[in-house]
Amino acid sequence: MRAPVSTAIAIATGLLVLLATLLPLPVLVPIRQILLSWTIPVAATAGLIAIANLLGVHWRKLNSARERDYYSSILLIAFVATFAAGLVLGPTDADFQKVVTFIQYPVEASLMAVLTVTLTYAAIRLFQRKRGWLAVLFTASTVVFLILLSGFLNVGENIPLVKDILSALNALPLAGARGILLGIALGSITTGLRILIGADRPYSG
Amino acid sequence: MSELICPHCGASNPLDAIECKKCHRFLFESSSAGAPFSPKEDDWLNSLREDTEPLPESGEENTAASEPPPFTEDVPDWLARIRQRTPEEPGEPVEQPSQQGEEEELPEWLRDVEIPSGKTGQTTSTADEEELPLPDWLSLIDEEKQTEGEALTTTSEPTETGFDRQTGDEELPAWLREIGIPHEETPSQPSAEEEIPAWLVESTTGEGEQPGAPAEPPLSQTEETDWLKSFAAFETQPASEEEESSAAAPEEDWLKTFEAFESQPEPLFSESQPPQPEDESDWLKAFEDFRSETLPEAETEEEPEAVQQPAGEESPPLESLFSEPLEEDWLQSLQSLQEEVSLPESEEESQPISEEAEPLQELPPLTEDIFPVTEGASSAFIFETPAQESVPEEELDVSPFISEELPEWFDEQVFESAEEQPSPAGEAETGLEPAELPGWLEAMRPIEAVAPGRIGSDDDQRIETSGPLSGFQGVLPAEALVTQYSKPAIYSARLQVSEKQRTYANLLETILQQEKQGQTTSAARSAAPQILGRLLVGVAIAVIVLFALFGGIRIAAPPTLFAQENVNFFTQIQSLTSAAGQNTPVLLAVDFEPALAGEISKIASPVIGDLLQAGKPLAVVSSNPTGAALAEDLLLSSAPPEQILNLGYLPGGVTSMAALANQPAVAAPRDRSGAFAWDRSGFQTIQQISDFSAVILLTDNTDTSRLWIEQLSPVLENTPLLIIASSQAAPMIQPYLQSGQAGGMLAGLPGLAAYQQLSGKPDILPAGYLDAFQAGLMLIVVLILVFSLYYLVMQFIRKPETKGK
Amino acid sequence: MRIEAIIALALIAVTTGLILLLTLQRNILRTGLRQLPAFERLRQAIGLAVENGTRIHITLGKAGLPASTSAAGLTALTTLERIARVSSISDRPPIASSGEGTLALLSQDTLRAAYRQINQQELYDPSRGRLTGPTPFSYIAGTLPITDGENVSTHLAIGNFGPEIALIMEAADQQEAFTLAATDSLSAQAALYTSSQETLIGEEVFAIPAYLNTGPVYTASLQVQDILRWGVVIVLLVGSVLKLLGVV
Repeated sequence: MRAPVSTAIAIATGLLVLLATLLPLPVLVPIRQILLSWTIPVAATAGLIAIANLLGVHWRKLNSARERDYYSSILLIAFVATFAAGLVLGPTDADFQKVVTFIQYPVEASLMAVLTVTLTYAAIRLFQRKRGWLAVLFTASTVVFLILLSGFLNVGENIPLVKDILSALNALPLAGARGILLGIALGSITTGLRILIGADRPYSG
Repeated sequence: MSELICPHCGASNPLDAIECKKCHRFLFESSSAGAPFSPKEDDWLNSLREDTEPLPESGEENTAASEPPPFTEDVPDWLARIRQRTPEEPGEPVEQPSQQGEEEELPEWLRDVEIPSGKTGQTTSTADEEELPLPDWLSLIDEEKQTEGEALTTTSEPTETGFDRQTGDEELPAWLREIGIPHEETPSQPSAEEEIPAWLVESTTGEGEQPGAPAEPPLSQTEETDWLKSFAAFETQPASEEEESSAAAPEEDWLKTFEAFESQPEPLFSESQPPQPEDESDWLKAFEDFRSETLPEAETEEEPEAVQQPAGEESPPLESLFSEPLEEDWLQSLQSLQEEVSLPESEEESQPISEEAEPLQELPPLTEDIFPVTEGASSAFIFETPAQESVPEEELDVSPFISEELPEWFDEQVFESAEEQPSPAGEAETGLEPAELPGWLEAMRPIEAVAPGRIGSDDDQRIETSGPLSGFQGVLPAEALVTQYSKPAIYSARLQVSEKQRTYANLLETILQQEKQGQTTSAARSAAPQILGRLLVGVAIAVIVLFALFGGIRIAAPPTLFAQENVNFFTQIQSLTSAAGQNTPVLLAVDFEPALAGEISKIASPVIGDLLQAGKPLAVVSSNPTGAALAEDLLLSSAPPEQILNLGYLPGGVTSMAALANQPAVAAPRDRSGAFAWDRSGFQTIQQISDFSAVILLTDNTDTSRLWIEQLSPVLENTPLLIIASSQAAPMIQPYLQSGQAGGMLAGLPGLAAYQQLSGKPDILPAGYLDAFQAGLMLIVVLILVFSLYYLVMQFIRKPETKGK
Repeated sequence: MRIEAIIALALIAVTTGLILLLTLQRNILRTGLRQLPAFERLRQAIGLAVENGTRIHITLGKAGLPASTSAAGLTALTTLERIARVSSISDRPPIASSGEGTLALLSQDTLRAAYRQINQQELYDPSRGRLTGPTPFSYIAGTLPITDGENVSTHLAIGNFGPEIALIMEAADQQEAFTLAATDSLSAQAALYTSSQETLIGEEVFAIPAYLNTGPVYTASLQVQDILRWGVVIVLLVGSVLKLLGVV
């Protein structure tokens, strides 16, 4: 058996948390609280290790003899500068927060604008890539809901028939979304249970 | 790219490495490095076509070149193999029927994948296999008869161990030449009829029938591969294993019998130990079976001889057999040999085998000088025969198996199967003695029978019954010998391919050609229009939005009807702000990214402003690292510090949300500055989440918004949960609003417009903002409609053209 | 005990029992997997990548273990292990990118386990399971260079994403790479439908291991998922009828 100790720990932890959630017995609740409280530092430590790994990857890219990536130096310099400023000034310092508001905010907003253009371009090329009724349905629903959400039909909302049609149309994505979410929830249940029974082990042990 | 994979051994090396740290070979010889889908790399078919080129040095490259393409339309179902290779996870019955048949099409590379897992690839015999043609090498035998002269000028590439798959086609068998050369020393041996072992009769008969009998039930390609592998294996595989394999597959053809015999361990014969009686009986039974058939004598002589050559045996120098050294004029010697053989061939065809083979105990002992007679072997068996001399390099480039009518790669398959044979000759040469052959092999030599010293021997008491020497005793046993040895089979240089196979081959090549060309053209045409198109779309949207924003155009009408969630939201905020005397804190859960901060902050600003104006203390907590900073800078920068409690970032995702819902003071005990949070004035009354007057969730994420709602709503009791969401998250939150888990929502600019209308504050939404929003959306709608119609029309136009073609 | 807890426990018990039963007794349900063209193309793309010596890139999303949407990430890890094993013969082993710390560590662990199982531990390189950014857009921005700088011919986006994943798919499309996307996020599904070559809709993301023949338990899990779905459909229909009749 692959990683028996890790598997046993994972199964036991999962069962305890699950039972404590569904059966809030006095014996189980404190254990659940302890286990859940461990997840936060564990996740934070994992994030720290992963960031170290990210730095290592870019360091290797920068020092690669064959395919040197000079852009990695920008990441490394930015990381060192931000980290040093955070240590010196503290995370609540107003100047340090400008890293977020003056750098990250505009950069991500620009990416969002690029995403808008990208999605628009992808939508107009949809029939070039995909054919069939699903593509037609997707395009039609995109057009309809863009018009609905834009508020362009606000002028017709007082007309009873238009109001009913708009209400019916607005209900369509809700029904579809619920159906998809139910399916995803069922998939999540089975995925979680696979881990609980030890059939799925995303750890090598 | 962060590592270099050695093309020779597969080891991982650092990027700056030039030499593999494991095998110490140069790393930059790999042909796989390059851009993805570049024409060079993608042209794997070229490597298949280059069958006349010298093969790459490494065996891995040879294998790769011979691999079938894994991405053809009938792609092999490697998934079935994935399932089978997992030891603890046997195949699923629901898919077995389809996968079983598809396993036959597995590409070589995926078979290799299985090797490390400890499973050996197994070839399964299916019904489809039986419809496949004869093995290629058998087809070649037949074809080579017609192209003999042509084949004489061509040679194949020798493998590292000296295997020469071509020399057998061009060179005449040495033993045939020796028929006419009396030997001074001839060991005593029984008559030829008596000495023919059963396996030899079987093999010669079977082999002789194959080329000339196209109606024979064809063998599958899998069987063909097995056959070739068995040839490679018989020199190295222990006898026990080979016997097991032959016994385990009784249904296989005469070749299996042939192989089984060859697998007899050499040391047994070197010690001149007679074979076991049960083996003899098997042989005899087989021989008796074959006696009932008419032997096509024209092709019965050379294969047995070829098989008698053990892999590791060294033959005497060829100079002793040929008048000239083979290295000097190899082809000429071959031609002369063939001329010499022509006379015995005609004589041999006249006498059938009429006597049973003697028991193996009576077989004569081994002799060393049997090995020269194995020089000329058929092309099939010469695969296993170690080359006796080095073949000039330039001759090896030319393949005699090239067929003009067939695709080049089709021909190559013939070679590859042989080239992949293991080459244990070198090892065997050092480990085996020359005299290790069994006696019965020696007995097959016709030259021994015609040697002068053998005429009067005791063993040869036969009286000639025909010809001018009729009635004499002890004459040369010409008739007997010629029944053993017939005209050497001349193996064809052409594949025997049926029309159906030829059609399939051409079709496959056409498909592959088209695929290759298609990729090349698409790569050339796709880059520029995409960039240009994206650029034009971006410019158009920007121009329209800016024009609507600053051009003073009014196209958007304010909403006259309001969604229920908007009304509920406004009502809740109004009740909070109107209760001026009760300054119960409001929890602000920030869950948006900088990318959407523009939209969220625009919607939330008037709401936050109303709450601050009413004197409500705000506790801010974020579920993402940047949320707290964004909220503080964009929303709360103008608020008095004593009114704000920034709890910062809550790591841990849903876990920390649940903790906050149950015990806020435990989940977030300190503010961003590190001070204890809950003893500040205005926040001391908070013991649990329901102590807040309201919880306002600012979110742009459908998933995290669901988490917030699911974790908070069960414990909120009468505290309303209000949501300010981006447009993209709104549809997923709607069900929670309808179920009552959330008390109200403002989503996107339409929500803000509704809040503006409901609150009666016209300055909430700047002039032109909603117009720019609507203009941008309308442009996108128009673009989608126009181009979708264009592509649809183009599809309808192109379809009839395709049908016409 | 609340009624919800009882129902939840019953659902978990039934689901677990069905998974175990269908795993051990696979002949009970003789239903095959329906053909999905996406997986056919995926097979071809993997074969092409191995033949060409190009790389397969699997991006695992931004939902780590603490998130409730981690199921998609776990499915992505299973897929990563399968593909790592299948393509281990390639000159360039696959790489995995993720937008969350625990997911990045698990991807490294998964790769190591995959290579250990096939006795090719020398192929393991921790830098092939990397965190490209801790926030959604930094994750996307950090992943974008992989599309044109790592000789990747196949991109698989499996996990939890936002609509920004479309940027990666479009960048990969510009590089003429094959793209397949599967996510549990609805907004990302809408964006991916237009930008990726193959998109798995809805819960099809959880079917990937079964289609890759990872093991009978995954097929059984998929079958159980279908059984539960039918149960939900029946409950919804019955509830609607009862509601219309005024019973409840």
